[in-house]
Amino acid sequence: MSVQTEVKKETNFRSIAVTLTIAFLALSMTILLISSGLQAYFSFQDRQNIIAEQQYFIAREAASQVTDFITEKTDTLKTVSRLSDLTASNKEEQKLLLSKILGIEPAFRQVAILNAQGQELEIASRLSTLESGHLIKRAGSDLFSQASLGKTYISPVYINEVTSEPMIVMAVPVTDVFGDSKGVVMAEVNLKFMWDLVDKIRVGSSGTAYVVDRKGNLIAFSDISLVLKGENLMRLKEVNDFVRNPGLLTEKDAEITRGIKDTQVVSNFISLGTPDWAVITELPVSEANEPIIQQFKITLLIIIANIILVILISVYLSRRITKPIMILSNAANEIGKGNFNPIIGVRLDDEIGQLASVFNTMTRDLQKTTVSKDYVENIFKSMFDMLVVATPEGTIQTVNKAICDLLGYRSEELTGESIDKLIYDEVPHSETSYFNELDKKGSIINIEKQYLTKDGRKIPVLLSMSNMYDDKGNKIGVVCVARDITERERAEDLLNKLKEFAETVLSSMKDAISIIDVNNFRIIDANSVFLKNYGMKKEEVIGKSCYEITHKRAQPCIPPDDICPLMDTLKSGEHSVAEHVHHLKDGEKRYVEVSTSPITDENGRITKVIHVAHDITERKVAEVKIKASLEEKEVLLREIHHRVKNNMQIVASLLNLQSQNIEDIKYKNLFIDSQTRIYSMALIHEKLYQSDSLAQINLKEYIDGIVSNLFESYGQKINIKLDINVENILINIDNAVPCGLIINELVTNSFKYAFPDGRPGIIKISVKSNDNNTIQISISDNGIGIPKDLDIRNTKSLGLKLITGFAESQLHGEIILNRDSGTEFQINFRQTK
Amino acid sequence: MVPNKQNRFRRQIPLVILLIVVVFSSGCISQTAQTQKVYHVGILSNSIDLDDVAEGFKAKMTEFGYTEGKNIIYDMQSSNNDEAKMQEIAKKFVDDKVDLILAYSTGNALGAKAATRGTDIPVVFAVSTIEGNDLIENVRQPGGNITGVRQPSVELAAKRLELLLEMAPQTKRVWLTYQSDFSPALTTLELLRPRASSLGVTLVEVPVTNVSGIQADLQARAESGDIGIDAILIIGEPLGNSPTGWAVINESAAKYKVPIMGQTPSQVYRGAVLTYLPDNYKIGQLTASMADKIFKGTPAGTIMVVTPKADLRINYKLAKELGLNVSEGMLNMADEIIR
Repeated sequence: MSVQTEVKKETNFRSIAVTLTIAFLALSMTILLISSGLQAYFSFQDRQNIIAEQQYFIAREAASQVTDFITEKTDTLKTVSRLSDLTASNKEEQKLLLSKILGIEPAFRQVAILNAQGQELEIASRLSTLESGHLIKRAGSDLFSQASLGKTYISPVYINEVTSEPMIVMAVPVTDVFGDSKGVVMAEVNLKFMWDLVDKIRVGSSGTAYVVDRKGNLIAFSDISLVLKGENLMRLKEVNDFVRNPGLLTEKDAEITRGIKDTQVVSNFISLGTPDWAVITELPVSEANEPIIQQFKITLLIIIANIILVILISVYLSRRITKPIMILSNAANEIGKGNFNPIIGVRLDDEIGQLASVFNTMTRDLQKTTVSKDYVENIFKSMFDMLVVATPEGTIQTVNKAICDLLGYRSEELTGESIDKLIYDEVPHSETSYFNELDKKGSIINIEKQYLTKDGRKIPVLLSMSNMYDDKGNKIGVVCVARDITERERAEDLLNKLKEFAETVLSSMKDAISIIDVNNFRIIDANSVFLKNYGMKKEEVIGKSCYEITHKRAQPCIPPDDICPLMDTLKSGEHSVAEHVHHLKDGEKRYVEVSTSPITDENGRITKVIHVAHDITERKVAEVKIKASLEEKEVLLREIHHRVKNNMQIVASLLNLQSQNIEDIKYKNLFIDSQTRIYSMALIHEKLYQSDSLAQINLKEYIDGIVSNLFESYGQKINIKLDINVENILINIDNAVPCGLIINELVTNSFKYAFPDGRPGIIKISVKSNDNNTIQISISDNGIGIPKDLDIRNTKSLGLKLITGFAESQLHGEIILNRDSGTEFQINFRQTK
Repeated sequence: MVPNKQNRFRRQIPLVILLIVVVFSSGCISQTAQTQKVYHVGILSNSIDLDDVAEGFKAKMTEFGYTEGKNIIYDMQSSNNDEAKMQEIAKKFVDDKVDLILAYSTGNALGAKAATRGTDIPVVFAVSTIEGNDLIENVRQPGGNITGVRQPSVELAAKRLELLLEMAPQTKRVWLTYQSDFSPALTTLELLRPRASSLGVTLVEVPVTNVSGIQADLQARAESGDIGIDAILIIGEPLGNSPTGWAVINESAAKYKVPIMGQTPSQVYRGAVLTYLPDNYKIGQLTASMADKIFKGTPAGTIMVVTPKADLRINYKLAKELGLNVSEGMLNMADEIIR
């Protein structure tokens, strides 16, 4: 029954926002509709009055036009009556007058002049003479009675038999100067011509006007056919009012009646008086009320706009009012579902604000005191560690998702089973089993065990267990939390393997390797070679300083006398090498090449250094032997050069002695040339054995020697000056010989040929080296110059042949001969390495 | 449950507003969206002499708001007094299911009425005599699906003879011709004969069946040496008013200086000394008023036949050339004088 009541309540629920909105709407709409209705009513009343006034003025205007039509016709006849002197004018004149009237007045079908006895004196007609006689018959006796009274006569409307057109006869009296009646001028008027007039009367935009006679017959209307039918309109209220109330001239109202076209119209009539007709105007109700309709439409639109506005405002206000209540309601629903988190952010200074505050306080209290089942389940579900809750006897009660996922069980497959199904124990329930241990200690923390998967695999876990007690201290269960340590064990295994590998590598190397802590230069590890070289065990080495072990001293190496590569590495952060002498186990000294390499931490800071000592003792011994051998060979080479130079000087001396016996100056000069050439070569050997290096000589010193010798041979006899400008250039032996011979030949030529007959002059010798290892030798004189036609490459001169041969073939250089002012030879060549 | 109801209520608010807007906008749109009918009018002409009727008709229709090419289309065809062609045109209009046929001249009006029998196509006639035929039942209630503007040539025939005699008082023999089987002409003659007799003139009646008959009579008179007539009266009938018939008559009249009382208003410009019949353009305007009523739902047979006012036109110049007496009274009555 209570369930049914609940359902019923749920079905009949209506939001308080809806109720408030409807209430606001109803109130606003009532006010709105009452005010708008009253306004519309009074506007309608005003409009009716305006319509009545407008209709009256329109009808009066229309009546005026119809009256004018009739008046115009009677005035025409009155004019004729005054012109018609019945006693004086003859028939021709009367005929002419009537014809003129007929010509200017198309509405007149016939015009006639009658004498006082009613005899037709003359007639003008649009009809044939046979038909003209009908006019007098139509007039009747009233014509003359009215005429005798001096009044204008207008007959009732009659219909022409042939054309069915409405006609009237009108007559005006003809009197003499005394006012006595002499006859009448009469005319038959076709009212069809009044139709155009009536047709042009505008009543609004779609209204109409028409003319009826006293009998209610239609005599003028835009719809000619109705007129021609001679329709009687007594059925229409306005016409009926006119016919039945001869004294009533008009009706000034805006009454809605049935119109001539059988439609709803607002009509009025105006009695013309004379003739005894009335003009009726009709304005369709739709047009008459159009302003009202327009105003109604606008009012309706305003009302609709107001309704929309009212709806929006109502919704807004109701929402604003009910929003805090809805928040409270939603919060209550959430708490009902066990969610104690919602805090109501309603800050009002009213009862709802107070309620929200109380609600928040209540929620906070509930949060402190209550934990929902879902909350606990969520904790279980979101745990990364595996959780099992078992009875004190070891029957599984609860497992979480993590353990199911890892072991491949569904929770219902484990619930009710023994916990031994999960935890592998080599001897279940033994004295040393974990369960007995738990009973003894109350808890077990982080023991390594193995969990069994559904398919029998063992998974290493780190297991913690604890007993669960009730308020009275009774054991009510066991809580097991385990973490999968498969990855951790795998990593440890890998680390051990790496360590073994590193030790194997270090042990297999021939160099003594140690790892040194840079903070205190103490050895923290060393390989087997190290231990073997220094005759120590690892534990004897670890913790001792490197210099203590390797140098057998108490202080570290101090630069610059003792270069410490370890300190260099610390300074530079890079690999460093130095040669040391290490003292081995038996005091044996060994030359070692020590190389140090930095080991950095995760911040790039050097914390350790790998110290590798490579034994180079054998190499050092070999180097000492080679050096001694080289020194011995150098002494021998200098001796050879010395002896070669001495021998060549002896040859030159022999040539000199020999030449003293030659009188022919030509041959004597040949001997001198040969002496100077030999001297030049001997000078090289002299310079070589005097030089530090046996491979190169100083070119400046060498040229000075050559030129001095030549000057002694040729220059002292004549007024020749030397200008020597040679840079300090070291030149190797391969280039020195050809250079010396070229300079010897060119300077000799200048001495011998440039200054004949004792002419003074200057011989310039310039040697300089460029950046690209190119040497430029320039020998010039300001003498007479060599012949213009001399081809230095095609001459019999031995000296020039030697110059071109040495320069181009030996030095692989170029010769530039300048004959502009004296003679200049320029030789450029690249020195061989 | 509560939030769901709230949401539903909130969702319905824009829907209600949209509905109100749609209802009002659709109302406004429906007022403006009106389909405009295009009327198709077949105009059955007799000859070019009468085409002022069509001009007057179109002009007045335009005043009524029927714009050619927009909401009205005219299909104007001329029979040229050929009855077979007239029937062919009338049949075509019926086949085309035109909304109205405007037919002028008595023969065309009768042909249009016959062709539309059994259909709901209304006929408006003009320049047609209603005497001596069954074109209408009566003036006030023409009946069937026809109405129009009658030609008052019968009742005006005597007056026209009187006007002719007033202008040519020496006249003793008045020549007139007519299609022998055209009944309105016979009716006209029945009225004319006694009036002629009373006026002391002889009607020289020449009933013919075609224009050649007219030509033969006039030629015979010419060959006899004395044409034997003093004046010519054209009455409402097809042959004498046809272009060829009129040309034959006019040629002889001019040759022998015989004054003609014309029938159609245009004849006064082409040889007649005077005419006294309604203006065709105005007739056309009157037929337009009838067509407008028909288009607005009034059955044609209930619209009363209209009689137009006759206009007196005098060719004063020709009258003087012929030595005729044009009285001042006649000139005063004239609607148009050609000098």
